[in-house]
Amino acid sequence: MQAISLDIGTSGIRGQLLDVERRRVLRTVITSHNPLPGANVMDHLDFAIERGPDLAHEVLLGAVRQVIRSLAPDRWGRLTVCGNPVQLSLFEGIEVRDLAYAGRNYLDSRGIVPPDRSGHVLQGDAVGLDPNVEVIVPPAIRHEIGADALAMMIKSGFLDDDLCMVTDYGTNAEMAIKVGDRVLTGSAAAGPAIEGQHISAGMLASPGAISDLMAIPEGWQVMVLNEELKPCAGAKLSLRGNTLKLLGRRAQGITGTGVIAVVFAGLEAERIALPRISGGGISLDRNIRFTTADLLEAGKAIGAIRAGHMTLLEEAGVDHGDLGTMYMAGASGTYVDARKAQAVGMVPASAKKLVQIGNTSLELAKDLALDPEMLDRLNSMTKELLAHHIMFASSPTFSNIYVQELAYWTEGMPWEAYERNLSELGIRTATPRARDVTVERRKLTDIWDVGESLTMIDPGVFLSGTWSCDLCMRCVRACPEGALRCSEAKFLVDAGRCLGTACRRCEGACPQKMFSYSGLSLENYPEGR
Amino acid sequence: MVRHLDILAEEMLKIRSRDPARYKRLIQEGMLAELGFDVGIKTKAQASVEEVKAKFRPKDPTYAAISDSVIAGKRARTKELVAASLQQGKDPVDLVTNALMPGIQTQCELYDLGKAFVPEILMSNDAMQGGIELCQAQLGDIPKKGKLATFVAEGDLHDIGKNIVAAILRANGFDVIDLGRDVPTAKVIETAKAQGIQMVSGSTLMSTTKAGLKSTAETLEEEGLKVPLACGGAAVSRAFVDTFVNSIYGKSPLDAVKIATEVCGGKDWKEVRKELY
Repeated sequence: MQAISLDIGTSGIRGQLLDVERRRVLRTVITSHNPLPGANVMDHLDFAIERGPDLAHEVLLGAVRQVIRSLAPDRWGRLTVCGNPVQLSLFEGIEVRDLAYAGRNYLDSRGIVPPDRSGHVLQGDAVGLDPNVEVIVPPAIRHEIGADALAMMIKSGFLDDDLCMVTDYGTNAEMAIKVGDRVLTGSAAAGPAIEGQHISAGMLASPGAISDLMAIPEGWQVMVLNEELKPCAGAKLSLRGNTLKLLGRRAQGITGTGVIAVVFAGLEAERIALPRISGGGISLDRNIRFTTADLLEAGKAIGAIRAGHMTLLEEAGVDHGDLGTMYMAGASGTYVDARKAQAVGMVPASAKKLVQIGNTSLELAKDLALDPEMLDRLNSMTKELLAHHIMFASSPTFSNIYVQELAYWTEGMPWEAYERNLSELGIRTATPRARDVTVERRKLTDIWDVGESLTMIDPGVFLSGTWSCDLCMRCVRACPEGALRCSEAKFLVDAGRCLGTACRRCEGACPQKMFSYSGLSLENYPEGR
Repeated sequence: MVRHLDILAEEMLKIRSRDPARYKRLIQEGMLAELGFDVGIKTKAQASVEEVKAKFRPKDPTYAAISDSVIAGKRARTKELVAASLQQGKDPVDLVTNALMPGIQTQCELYDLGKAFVPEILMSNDAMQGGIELCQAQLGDIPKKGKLATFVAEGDLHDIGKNIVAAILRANGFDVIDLGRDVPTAKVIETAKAQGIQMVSGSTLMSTTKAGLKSTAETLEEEGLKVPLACGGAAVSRAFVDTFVNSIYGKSPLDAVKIATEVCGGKDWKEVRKELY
């Protein structure tokens, strides 16, 4: 029998076709982005609430069907999914409003009851797939900490270790600390800068993306991903001299790990004097600049992650110096230079061993597809973890630390003031950096095993609408993502490329006030488009 | 960037003795000319911090000690000093205006100059509030520039930004009733009516909850209260705020002070928008 495992992430879907008897990965398909409008889970939720959960479910399912079609399964009978609770709930088409509002007042006054998000098995037709397919959904721990968090704990070795931490580096950074038998979890809204989005020259990890900066005697060597996604030499630059030698592979943009490397290099070479870059931006290739605005975005993301780590350490009551291993999961956690990540603050400064472990979410989905009885174990494990989740949004410790981070990254508050303020507030600060840190790249690629092939597809889900306007096309020109087009008086929005609620420039640009984003509906293509 | 070659040479020698590794690295990169560029600026900045402190520091040494402990953000110490002064028979209003306020004013001015930072304002505010509570217990109300309310929209718990706004408004002499987070529209209206609020400041970080600001601004208008809503927060843009009446957009906490000053000076929301946009 064949089975399909899916990791539904905020920035894209990954799917694998598995041979259950031979316990093998046959092939892998990934989408270039998530099909829902917007760049983060809040935008996705906003879309689901404004346009109705059914439409959001249909959009997501449209992309899932595309992935399944591209995997071309034969005699398949099982589908397993993993991901954060927002994506999994939208996939199932169940209540999401409890995830959209953090405050109790709103939920109580509208009688919103959180649905049961423990692990369960469904018949395919319950989610809009073939009724003969068995769909297995793993449990969420609580609220914003989902099955993906469970995956990173189980698949990393975190649960067998003592005094260690794990983080899945993504738009939402899920994190956990383990002290003896106790596990504390949290989730920091780092923002999309970690994945190279919301950065002026940002792009996802793909050919032409700057992924690293390496120190060389003359300054720094830009590393650019080639067609096989391997880093190769690009331009050389001197950060102090602000000079650039265009050599080697040309770059088209900068990805999340490249952002971390530029911040590291800029601080090292003293070109970055927070909160600014002296000399107005760092040129990395002919038309690629890392600007002060990008530095603020990156700083806020790094700051949220560090504040999360420090909150977990504080709430667990441990001294930073006692921390042993840090497990780094997710694509950004796998490809980033771990030492640079530690130097800029994305990894606790006192961690002595850094282990890069790849995408654990897809791995858990795969394990479930091969051993469905694992679901019961996951459910009981989740119950034990329930009591120790820390909501950063309502944690005074997190708030106190994050205010320091904001001041450090965006106002240029000196590090000495950061440490002094926290000690005044009675919060433990980082001990001097750990020395002789060891790095173990346990996985060199984020997907552990791609099987015979890895294909990237565009989810290609469109929203469309028609109205009788003058067809002046100002809306089309206003779209910063090129996600809107018009053919024969019909307006088509590429849902996954649309920035969603945060943008709406199409609506704003319409001189006749005819463009109606909320009037758009799902475009149905004939089968086999 | 280099102003004088002699300063440059002096700075180079200093770096060589202080940090030989960095000196060597700089030489290797052939970037010697970059060495001395920030020499002059630092000494000037330090002088101006002292100037600002001197400008506000009270003459009376016990008042100066209170002001200093507010600047240092020490709540327990401030309360101790204020309690001692009250015991000695000092006038509570005088203590607030001439001992506690100069501390926060120093901090706010340093912040304007980029020499102090938001966390420090928050800590100073916390210290000052501790002192004010003691003074208020002795003597009813202390004269204020206006009466305001702050809140985070219903459904949202993210209140860091709102706390900063409330602190900076208080530091600038406004009486602020902080309604907290996850606040329904009805509660804002009720408070505005019961307390004679002149302006409300609302914020939200989450895009899912920003509609709460719109409904609050509109309900305040419908009730005929003439209480405008200053809106801000990560999920809030000027374009969004301009889609509804009775609202003014602010980007930074200092914008909230400007808006409050205009509103409490008698302007309506349309005039304030015209004035500040």
